[in-house]
Amino acid sequence: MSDAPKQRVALVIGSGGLKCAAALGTWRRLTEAGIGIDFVVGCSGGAIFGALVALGFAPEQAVKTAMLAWKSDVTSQVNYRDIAEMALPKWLKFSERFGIFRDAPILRGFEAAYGKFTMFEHTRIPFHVVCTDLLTGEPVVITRGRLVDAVRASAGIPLLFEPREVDGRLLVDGALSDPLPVDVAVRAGADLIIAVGFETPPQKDVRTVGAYAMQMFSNMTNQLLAYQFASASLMHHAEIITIVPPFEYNIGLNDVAKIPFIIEQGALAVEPHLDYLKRLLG
Amino acid sequence: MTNRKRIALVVGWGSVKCTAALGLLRVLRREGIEIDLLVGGGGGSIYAALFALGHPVDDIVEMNARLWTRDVTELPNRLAILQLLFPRQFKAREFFYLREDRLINERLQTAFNGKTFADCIIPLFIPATDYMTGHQVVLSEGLLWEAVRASIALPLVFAPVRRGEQLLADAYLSDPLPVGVAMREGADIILALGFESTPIIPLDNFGKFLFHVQGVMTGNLLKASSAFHSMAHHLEVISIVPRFDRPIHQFDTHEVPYIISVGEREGERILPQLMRLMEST
Repeated sequence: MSDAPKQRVALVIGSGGLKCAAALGTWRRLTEAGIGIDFVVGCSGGAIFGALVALGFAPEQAVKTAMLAWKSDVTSQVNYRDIAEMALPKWLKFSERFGIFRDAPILRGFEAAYGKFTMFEHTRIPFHVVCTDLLTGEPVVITRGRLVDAVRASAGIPLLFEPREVDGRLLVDGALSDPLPVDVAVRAGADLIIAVGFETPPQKDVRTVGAYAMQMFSNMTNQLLAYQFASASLMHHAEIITIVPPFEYNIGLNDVAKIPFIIEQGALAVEPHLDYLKRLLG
Repeated sequence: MTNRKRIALVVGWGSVKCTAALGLLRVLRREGIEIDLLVGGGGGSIYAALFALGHPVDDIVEMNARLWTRDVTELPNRLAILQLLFPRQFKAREFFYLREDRLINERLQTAFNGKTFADCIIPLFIPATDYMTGHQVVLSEGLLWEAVRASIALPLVFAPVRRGEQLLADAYLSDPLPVGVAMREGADIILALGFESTPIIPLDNFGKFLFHVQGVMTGNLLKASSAFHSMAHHLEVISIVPRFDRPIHQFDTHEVPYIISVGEREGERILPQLMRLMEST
């Protein structure tokens, strides 16, 4: 340890559905290289897997737990009640708490993965979860309360899943306002930001509503990411190392069998940055 | 004046709010300030295109009253609900949409009357978005109504437009205020007229929910792109984001006179700055 003040290192994990599990591989490689993380910022899928880093699971254990957090049944329960409301909005009183799928399977996954660590207070290092206020469209950063609530809110893709109420606000997917929240890490005082971001490749077939809607969201999220990231780089308040694990094809919400592969992609993607990171951290 | 600065007007996404452009143009006309380049995306494409064709502002106001009425989005696609309920059994032939576009197509065809980009007396660019890649596509030739139709193809509501290999949809998906197009086309001064999205309350049907969610994303995209463009600042961008004293939704056509008056007020407000920029060397 030198006498220089310690640099605060943030791991920012952007939205990207199941692909966000790659951040666990990135983190494992960082840990092996002796690079510690001081706090974690997660958005959407990034919040699901970021929680495992923040809770202080050992990397190998986190990788195993990832398989519990997200199972192939996340879109298995169609919410017929809400679809009926859609058809007959006046009779059945359509409300903004609309979602094509029920979220019970997702919640079960999170609860199984986080186990007895249900609150933000249980995290080993500070954890920031980015969501979007459905009514105002503003980003909302959650740092306390129930972990499952925050992560569920952050990963709530509108149309597919119901918005989640947290502290009186209806929250949806953080990707709608801040898909790769490096700004949150800057404000929280990071000196060095390791940002794991994802672009969403095009859907192969857009003939179903779900695929079509996903394509719409990914178009906008990709664009938002590009602009916000370009601005963050221009402003340069902190050193930002961007890691974009490559995926040649689309990883669907149900592709859980690919989690081990995804994690390895994240480990490979950080490799070329390790020397530079070590140099920065002295 | 050989070294006159090239002025572009960029009108962004905002459905009926885009008529504020007409108020702005009225002020510029009165002052004898000429626009050298027009860029219109989403709803802005309608007014940019009509102005580019040389229609006087008052005529455009009248044409708009016939073109943009609530019923253009009221023809349901009867298969949509089946496609939603039974996605596997009822796959859409090409893509899902809630509304038939017959009426909006007729209205646009009437308004643009077979005119093409080549008929414009002011160079016009209409951005849309390649739905499959998310990239911006800038249209500058062919039939005007088709370009406008692509630029206003709100996903899930209207079907995108097929053009060769590409599926074109609403401009806002790639950039709700396409300032970048005017930059690339060599404008020296850019008047960028953009709109914040209006939160919809209550969200008591699916259509409103959908519009609202898209509005949320557009609003955030607008903030992000404006922040970036003002930082990158290669040339003079006068950004105009009118504030309205009441919520204005998609089809509040009765608000058009008010919206235009707000556009005029904004025009008066930016006039001194614009004059200064035009005179400076």
